[in-house]
Amino acid sequence: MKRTVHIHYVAMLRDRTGSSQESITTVAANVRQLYSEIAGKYEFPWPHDAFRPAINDTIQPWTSAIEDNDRVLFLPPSSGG
Amino acid sequence: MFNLADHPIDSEQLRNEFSAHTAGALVVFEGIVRDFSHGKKVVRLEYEATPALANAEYELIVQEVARQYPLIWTRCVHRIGVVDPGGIAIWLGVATAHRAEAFDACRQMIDQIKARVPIWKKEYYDDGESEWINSP
Repeated sequence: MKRTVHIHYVAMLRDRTGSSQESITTVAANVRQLYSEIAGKYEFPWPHDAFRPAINDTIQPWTSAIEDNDRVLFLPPSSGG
Repeated sequence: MFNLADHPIDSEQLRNEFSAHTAGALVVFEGIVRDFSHGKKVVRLEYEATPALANAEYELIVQEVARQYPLIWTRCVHRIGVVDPGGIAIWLGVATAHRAEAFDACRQMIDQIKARVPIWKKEYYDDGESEWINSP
């Protein structure tokens, strides 16, 4: 089943993809599969578990299902302060 | 209460928000931008964050720390955007009844904030290079 999701890129992910967000149509069932698809598209050098996934402004496990129109972020390790 | 600020942090104004007379101790941590890092001269930092996620994670941290220490008041502001060396990147105030728990709670909170709140820092150096800190 295809879904359209809105991916927002921050920090080094934005630098790598060259954009702050994009909407894609995907057959990925969960956020882990979505990361793999995006990582392949942009040749990310990072494993998925370097990030924390967030769906609709909530941090979620990698096994979380994605739904049509979800807003997804991959949060890099924090470096505030 | 937590918020992100795209303008210089006013320590005095934040301090003046505190008015809890039940607290005998207020510990304030100010994180200052250094002009050196990894052996290089830093000319500026740039911070970015996801506001909703940052706020939610901060609130979780407050709840966790409050289970260990009797927090009376907390306040935190973190900069986003460009911050020059010497500028305040984060202001954190933690008030409790007594000083020992205020020091400990403040230490725990700043450690957790730095580790978990979705905020990212890019360092710019005088050789023209730049680097995302903690990049995987």
